[in-house]
Amino acid sequence: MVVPLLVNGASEAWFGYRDQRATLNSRLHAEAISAAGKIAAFLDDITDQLQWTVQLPWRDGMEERHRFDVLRLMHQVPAVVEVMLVDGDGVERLHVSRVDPDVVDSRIDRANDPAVLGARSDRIWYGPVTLHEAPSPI
Amino acid sequence: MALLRRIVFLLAALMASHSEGLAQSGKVYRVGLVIAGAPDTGILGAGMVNNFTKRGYVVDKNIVFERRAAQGNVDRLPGLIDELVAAHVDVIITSGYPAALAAKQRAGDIPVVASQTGDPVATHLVESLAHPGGNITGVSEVATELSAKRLALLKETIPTVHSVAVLWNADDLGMTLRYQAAEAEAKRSGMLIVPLGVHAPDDFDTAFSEMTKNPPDAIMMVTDSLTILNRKRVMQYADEHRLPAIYEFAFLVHDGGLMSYGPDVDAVNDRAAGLADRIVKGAKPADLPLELPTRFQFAINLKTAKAIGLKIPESILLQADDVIE
Repeated sequence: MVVPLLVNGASEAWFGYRDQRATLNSRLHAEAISAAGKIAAFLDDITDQLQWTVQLPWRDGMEERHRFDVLRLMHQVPAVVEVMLVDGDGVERLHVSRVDPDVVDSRIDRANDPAVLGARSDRIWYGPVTLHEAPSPI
Repeated sequence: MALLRRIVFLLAALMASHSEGLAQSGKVYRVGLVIAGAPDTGILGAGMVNNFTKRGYVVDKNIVFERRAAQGNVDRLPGLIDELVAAHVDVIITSGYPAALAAKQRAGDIPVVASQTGDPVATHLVESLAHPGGNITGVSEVATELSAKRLALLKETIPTVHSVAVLWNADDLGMTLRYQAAEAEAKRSGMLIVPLGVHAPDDFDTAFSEMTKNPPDAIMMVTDSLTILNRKRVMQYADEHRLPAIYEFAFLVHDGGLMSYGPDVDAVNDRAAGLADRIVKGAKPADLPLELPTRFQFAINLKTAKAIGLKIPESILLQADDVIE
């Protein structure tokens, strides 16, 4: 009589465990979807603001104006930590950062950066979501 | 939406690996809070309590705070940590490097959440940001990089600035690293740093005579409990000698300092509370990566600017988050 009881107990435990896992998984999935929706909305908002900033292409002689546009953007969107502007040739002309001193006119060639290539072909490019030494995605 | 799918996948993976216990308990959590400075300031204030109540804790029902302040005497810190250990706290939250160091040395198995420590890897509080190891985690700082940013902001505010006197607590390794970062940036950008390391309140008099003998163009005050305790004297000196000065936290600008740039302290303290919340619910500090600040605050006091005859450029006003008029 012991063996059937054991089997019954074991199978109940097994199915009980599976049910709990299923409930937990669907709950986690729902939470992930909800959080993902919030992140997507957050990114859309930043995208809108960025588009205003780069409405005009880089023009020599307008350095101050471009910098002011970026400063205004960063004032409106505290979540943006740094902004890099490249000109029509993909050359970096301005790098404004909350963390490091600004770099003006570095002329670093970024024409082959994935970001620049992606933005040119698709108008907008999202970098990979990475965990950079911290749990908050960059 | 490929992006949305990618985010969902990453989040689901993250959440699965961080599954927290869903069980509620009737336990009363005991949170120790310790700083080198004055009582009722910083993390000992009401802001930290709010960080917990908004996470569902109710004071005196399921959470109790044990607060300790060394009042400027860092030698008291090890004893204060011992008191928290004896009070059986579930987690210790510290602010500032000296308190974190004392906690690392004396807290034993009690988990520690450290904030505002300067660079926690360079000061050997943790092994790495991603895997702290040990019993300490917390909110790291980009503080050494911010030293360079502070100098750059001084330069943008006063384009003619060349020599900058840097006041810092030379006994605090975290603060010394910030001074060194300022030195490095000054070399890079052609400015001159006048080092004025202090160890005790009396040293400020020496620092002031140095500055009177060889007047700098500006002052940078590396901010820790020692310099904070003596801030009024620094601000008075700066005012009397019409010297621009940059600090690290907005409350100093509200107090009369000219400018400050640093991480948003309220956001940092909120993240610290978040980490403590996870720890008391079972997470191990060794597994919790340190977080980096993502919000920064630039404060300017226009009254002080006017008093020292300084006109603030438009680009600086545009960058300011907090303007006192």
